[in-house]
Amino acid sequence: MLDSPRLTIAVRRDPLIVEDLRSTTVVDDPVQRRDLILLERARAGDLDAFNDLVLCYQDQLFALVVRMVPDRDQASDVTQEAFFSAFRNLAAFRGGSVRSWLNRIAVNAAMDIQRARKRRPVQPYPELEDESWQPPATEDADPVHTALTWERSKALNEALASVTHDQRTAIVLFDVEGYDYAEIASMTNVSLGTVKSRIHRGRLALRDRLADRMDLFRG
Amino acid sequence: MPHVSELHAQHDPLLVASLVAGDLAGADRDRANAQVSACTDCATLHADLIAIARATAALPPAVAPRDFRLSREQAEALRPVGWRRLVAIGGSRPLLSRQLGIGLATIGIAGLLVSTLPGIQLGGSAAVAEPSTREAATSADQRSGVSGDQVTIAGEGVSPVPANLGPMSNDGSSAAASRSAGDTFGGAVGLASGLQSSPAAAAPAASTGAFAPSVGDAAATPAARSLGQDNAEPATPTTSPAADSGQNLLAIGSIIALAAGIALLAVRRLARRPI
Repeated sequence: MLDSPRLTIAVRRDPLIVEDLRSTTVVDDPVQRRDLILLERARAGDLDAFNDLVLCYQDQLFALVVRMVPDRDQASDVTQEAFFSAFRNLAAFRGGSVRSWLNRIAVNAAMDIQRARKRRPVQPYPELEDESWQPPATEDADPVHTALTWERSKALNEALASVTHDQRTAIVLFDVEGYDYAEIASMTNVSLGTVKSRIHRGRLALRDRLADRMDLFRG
Repeated sequence: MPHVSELHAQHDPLLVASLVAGDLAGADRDRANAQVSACTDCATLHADLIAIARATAALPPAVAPRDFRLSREQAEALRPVGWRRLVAIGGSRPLLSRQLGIGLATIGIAGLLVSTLPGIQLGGSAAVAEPSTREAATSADQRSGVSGDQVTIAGEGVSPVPANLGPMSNDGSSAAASRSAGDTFGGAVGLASGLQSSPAAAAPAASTGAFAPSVGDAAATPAARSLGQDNAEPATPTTSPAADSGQNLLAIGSIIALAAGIALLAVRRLARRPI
């Protein structure tokens, strides 16, 4: 992505654009700087710049959403809707991390679909049989290790799918995405204490669900 | 399921989970550490939670099943142009028009409910209505040249009735009404208060030969109904023309707000082109 010709041009643009983004802090992180430049160009009407952002984050966003909405088709729709929403609300971006901004939009979209799902339950979790959950195997990989990793992932995904939506969201954002409590609280519009409680109870629930398969995870 | 000892059953697993997450400090952390050290099951739980957290963090990333880049057509559909831009009040925040629409509709519904609720008077309560009714009665009285013996209430539907009709009512309420009307030119409120008077109070009014009012006005209906009845009914609040007009205004305003809100929401929906 960073090697694309369009991006090279974008990076060579006048750096003052970054200051236009009402951010008072100097952006040292090259990735964040790249995102801000692309976002500013997208705001100016450059669709290609926005699509570059999509390319940068579509896998990460889908990976986040698919753990919150354990239905691959719905997760795909939610991810697309999140990018639509981001495009619609480009002017609403007020600086900071573009990744966090996109994640926030995706989390909100995923929460919306989960609420709708509660009202209209559908076939639960067909993705658990999906081959794409398997970790990529290389030729020199130990087949036993690969099989073990796959088994572990499958068990964990099943367990994650069985805990409450709120607990799953909190665990995914904390353990998988690496957000801190305050960021999760802000994303999900709940208090810090609620986030902690959801993570703690969610982990305990996972352990209950995995009780007979904990050998996969020990050692 | 691992064996759960009796001792472990008394332990708080959330404390262990908090310890794993690193959320404890001071005495709580010491207590949790002591618990994990002393109880084998708590130690197992502690180790399991750490393993689960590590495994969750190490989950292989899912690969996006398709390309989510926007086409030119999609981008055009997402960008409000022309009249659609007007609907997107607040520029980049089309939600504002939605909130405005919902707000207007809510105000409209609430206003309609308030304006149709019985017993709610706008622009003049019963207390306020009394003087205005008195004034109307006075002015009508003056216009018709009636004094003392003849009473007109609210200027409409009134015909003089001899006071000797009063004794027909056992409790003397009609006489009390005539007294009230004759003495004070009382309107509906005066009549209502007259209903509460004792039979003894009817005597002076009857003896003066005053005319008791026969009321065709809606405002005086309770009093009129009470004439000739054994038991007086409680008076209902009266409405003044000002209150009526206030309610009408509220109803009209509410309908307008409701219509505007619904229209805004409808236009907003129309403005969203299929993507």
